[in-house]
Formats: sequence, C-alpha cells, structure tokens
Amino acid sequence: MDSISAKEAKIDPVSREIFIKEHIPFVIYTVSSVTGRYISTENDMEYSIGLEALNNAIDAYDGSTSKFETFATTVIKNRVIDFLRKENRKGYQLSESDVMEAIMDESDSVDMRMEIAEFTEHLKKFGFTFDDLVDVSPKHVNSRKRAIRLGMRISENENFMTYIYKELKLPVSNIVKLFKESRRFVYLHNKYILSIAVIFDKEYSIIKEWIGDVIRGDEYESQ
Amino acid sequence: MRANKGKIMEILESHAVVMTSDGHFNRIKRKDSMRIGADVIYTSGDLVEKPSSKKGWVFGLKAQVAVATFVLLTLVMSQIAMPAAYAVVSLDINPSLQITVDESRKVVGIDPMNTEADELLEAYVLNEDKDLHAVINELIKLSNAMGYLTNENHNVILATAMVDRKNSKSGSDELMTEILDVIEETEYTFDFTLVSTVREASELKNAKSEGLSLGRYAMAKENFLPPGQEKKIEEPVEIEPVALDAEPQIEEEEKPTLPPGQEKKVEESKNIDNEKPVPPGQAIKEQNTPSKFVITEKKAASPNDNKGNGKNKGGGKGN
Repeated sequence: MDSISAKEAKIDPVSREIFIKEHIPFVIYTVSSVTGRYISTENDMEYSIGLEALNNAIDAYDGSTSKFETFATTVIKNRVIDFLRKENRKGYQLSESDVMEAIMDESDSVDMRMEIAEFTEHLKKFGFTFDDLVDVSPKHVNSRKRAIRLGMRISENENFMTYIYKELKLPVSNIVKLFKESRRFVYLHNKYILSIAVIFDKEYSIIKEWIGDVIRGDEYESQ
Repeated sequence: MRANKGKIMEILESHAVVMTSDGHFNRIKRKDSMRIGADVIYTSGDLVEKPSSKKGWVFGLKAQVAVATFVLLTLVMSQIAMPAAYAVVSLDINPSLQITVDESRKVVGIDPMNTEADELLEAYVLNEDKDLHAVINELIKLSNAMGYLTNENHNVILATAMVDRKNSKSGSDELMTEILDVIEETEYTFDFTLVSTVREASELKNAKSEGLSLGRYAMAKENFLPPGQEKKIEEPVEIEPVALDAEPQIEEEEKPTLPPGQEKKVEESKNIDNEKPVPPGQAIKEQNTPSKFVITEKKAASPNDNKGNGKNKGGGKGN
C-alpha cells in the first residue's frame, strides 16, 4: 500500500523522491536477487545502478501493461545485468588508491572476523550459538536497549564476570538485587544479556562499535 | 518491505545469522560471497523465517507461500509435539515446580511456579533425555543443597501426578507409584514428610488458571494442610495454597515417636487407590488427611547405612 503512486511520482519531483525512498528495499531486494549476493554498502555500484534504473522506470511506466513493481523489476534486472556484463568485459583495472583501500578494508575485515570467531568460541562454551540468539534476543528495541545496558553494567563488575566464566551462566539473583532488574526479564533474555556482557568484557571493539548506536541513543534519555 | 543492515555473524548451511546495529539478530537466506564480518543490506524478503514486516508486501505470493508453509509446519509440529506431554508431575517443596514428561518418562520440560523454583532451576541443568526419576531425585537433592530442605526444618514435599490420557487414573497411580519407589530407594541426608496425590486433567487446567502448581491447587481446593502445618489452622490465617511456601519453622511438636519397627524409610507406597492408603512399613499420620492425599515419612539415611543394600529398610534418623 504505497502512499504515492508511480503516476504521481512521474509528474511531481517531491513525490518522486518519496516514492524512490519508499522503494529502496525493493531495489535492494531486486539487485541482490540478480547478483546472487547481498549488497554490502550503500555505495555498492550495483545498488546505484538499481536506483538509477528505478528512476528510469518511473519515467517509462505508463500504467497500462502491468503493476509498477513488475515493470520496475524487469528494468532494474536488465540494467544490473548490463552493468555486470560490461564490468566483466572491462576486467579489473585497479588504481593505486583502489589497492590501498582494498588492503585497508581487508585488514579491517580480518580483525572483524577474528573478533567474531573468538566471540563464537565463547558462546560455544556457554552452550549456544548466534543462531540460538535469533530466537532469544529481545524483539522490541526498548527491551534490547535495556538488555544491552544491563549486559554492559554486568561486564563492569569483575565478580560477576568471574562467576560467568566459571559457572557459564548469569548470577541472576545477584544481578536482580544489584541492578534492581526484574527476575523475569533477566531470565527471559539471559543468553542475550550474557552475550552482551561478554562483548563488553572482552573488549570486542568492532562489535561494540557496531551496536554502540543503541547505547549512545540511550544516553540521551533520562538515565 | 524494509531494508536492514547487518553484520554477518554466522554462516550455516541453509542460512546466515546477522546482527543489526541495534543489536537484533536475524536469519537471512544464504547467498554467494558471504563472509563472516561482512556488512550486508537485506530486506524482509531475505529473512528465512516468517517475515516480521507488516508493511506492504511486494511479493505477495511468496509471502503467502511462506506463511502457508509456516502454518503447515506449525500444525505438523504441533501434531508431532502433542504426544510428548503425557503427564505432569508437580513437586512442591517449596520451590514449586511442574515437570512435564512424555510417555517414556522422559522429562520434556520443567516450569518454575514461583521465584524459589526460578532460583532452583537456575542452578539445575536439565539434560536431554533425562528421565523423571533422575530429575525428581536431583531436584530434591539440589533443594537440600540450596537450603530449601534441611534437617533443621520440618520438610514437606508434595508430589502430585496427573496423566493426561483416557485411562488417566490408573496411569496416574502407576506414575505415582514409580515416584514413590524412586524416593523410597534413594538415600537422603534429611528427614521429610512426603505427601503424594494423583489428580485429574481438569484440575491441571484450573491450577494453571490460578497460577498454581497442580499440587498446591489440589491442597487449596481440599483445604488440606500437610502435617506440621495444621497448627496454622488455629490462627486466623486463610487456608491458602501458600502453606508450603511458609518456611517450615514450625516446631515439630507432637511429632509422633515411632515404634522401633516403624522407623523405616518409605516402602512400597503403592496403595494409593485404597480408601485408607497406608503403605506398609511407613509411619503414617492420618489426621486431616483426605483420601486423595497419602502421607509418608521419609527418614534421613543413617551414616552407617550400607549403600549397596538397595532398599533402606529400618534406616532410622542419622542420630
């Protein structure tokens, strides 16, 4: 149920901008299905090509043949395929700065992979995996904030962390007492809270940075 | 459809797990060139499980197929899962727990019914395929280790069984017999009064709606108080199921001195169908005992008891 139709977007620039914004996930999905891989950054070349193709599709759509999305899917797919073909023909001619950038990116990603691998091993010791965390992590953003904040505070308590690594579980009763948290909340999200505590205790800086927005956003709130 | 950015944390055969920058974990489809640690932008269309987005769905057919598959799977799974819950055994020490078992007596779940049970279960690891007998014993022993059952207290354990089948009565009786046998055969380091009762499935529903374990519900329903706690009736206290909750600080007055021959541990607690279900060899208190409750005194194992003897006949209190 789009608030703005393709026809409106065609004639009004403001509506077009809103329409394109609303269709960004659609572009991501379509491009990703053509390339067979996920778009990794907003600067992905294929993603830009897809956005451009969407813009063109708005102009070309006359509303008589099919739904806009069906039409736009074809336009985007063809445009991305064309781009990929050209890229293949051209081969890779990297400049010095491209090479440097690639090296920097790679070293970042090696650090990241090492951090995740180490974190994975820790989780295994506790008897669960990231896949398990999908089901037990708080679904609501406020609950996640609360759990992340709690995990962070737990990580600052040496006794708690010693207990956690020794007993491989949270000292729920003490956490409830010290942080005045509800027992039910701690129980319900204990794996998630424990994971967060480990992230902060082990100083997984890249992962910390990754989820830092949640906490940073939280700091502006009353506490 | 919504787009999210996530970091790939785990790549499995069928899917990958990503963590979003707000700390959420998602399962997404596996695609080419996935690398641990890489940032990916994905949409709700890439989620492996039921999409969480409630917004307009471009690929309606896909969504419908996904939802239909999910519903079908849920139905199939529920059909498969149904036979798992064969019986419920509640154990009120306090802590108050409810144990669900399958037909082969394997424990499929333990529900804490109060905060003490939360604490107990926090310290207890339920392994897969663990059978009821082992679990009951371990929980009782753990309750002792955690100070809920001690020799200083007048310990009361209420064991309640309910089999959710057509022949539930005989099934429940059989199950309770097994439980009593297990307790009988086990050596404990503390005395306790075991109150056992078998109940019906309808009572479980009522207990659930009251937020009580089956045993505590049964006690409340029949205004039954276990031995050692009857004295409370004289006081202006409502007969509530919380009777077991009260720390058993009550002095053991009028505790019957058992004849030497009867200072035995639990033996053959199998006559729970009888009007007067008095298992032989047990010290039984009969006051305030409705027919559905059977009371058994279990004595602590003497340090001299030979563990290899199996049944602990004649085992008196430690001192």
